[in-house]
Amino acid sequence: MNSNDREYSNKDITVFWYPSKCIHATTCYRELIEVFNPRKRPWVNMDGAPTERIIEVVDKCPTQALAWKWNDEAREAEHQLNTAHVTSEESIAQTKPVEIKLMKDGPLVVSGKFKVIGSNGVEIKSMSMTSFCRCGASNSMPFCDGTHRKTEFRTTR
Amino acid sequence: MEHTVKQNSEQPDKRTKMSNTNKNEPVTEFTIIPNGPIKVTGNFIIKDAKDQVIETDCEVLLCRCGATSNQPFCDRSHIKVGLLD
Repeated sequence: MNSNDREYSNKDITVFWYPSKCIHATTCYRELIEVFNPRKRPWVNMDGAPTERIIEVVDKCPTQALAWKWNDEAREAEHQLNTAHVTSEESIAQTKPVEIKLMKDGPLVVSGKFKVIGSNGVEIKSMSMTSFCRCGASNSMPFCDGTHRKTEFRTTR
Repeated sequence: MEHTVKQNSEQPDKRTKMSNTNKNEPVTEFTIIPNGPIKVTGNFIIKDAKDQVIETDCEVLLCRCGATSNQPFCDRSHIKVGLLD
């Protein structure tokens, strides 16, 4: 476990937060600000919504920067079996087109199989998930670093 | 002899399979234009925040400077803004 990683629990589940995996897709706080509020400390409030709703939103995190487990061991074993099944189904669908999702007031979130060629003409790497800055203010160009929140970047589409 | 030739003609099948394997390599490319937009080529779709697909050509320039008046596409506003990588 990285020193920046965090765990948050309620009576049913524990939510894990791995900041190094976050691409600022903003799905979590857009969906459930009562639980995921980046302006508050701690930023995750496990009392803000029912467990089922928290699970639903954590499962939408595109990078697994957010993950969760049942506190009850037997229930968690069953959950892990189901998750493994979903992952193998996804890995079969390799020929799908790359999806570029425009986040409201945020970055371009890209998923699929693709290459990124840097501004110096050198291939940065092949990836399956990333987010590109579209506010112009990122300090880690061409990728999003969450600065659009500070600059209050607004999108029309 | 003709039979032999016909049997050999099955050989290209293997080659087809090989090239299919290569198709699994990423062909969609995101090229970062210095101080400009992202050029996207290959097999991709663009969805807006409401998950509606936006019709595009097979090559697009996506705004990176935040100043375009035609989001998400580049309208050359970066020249005025002076986006710095």
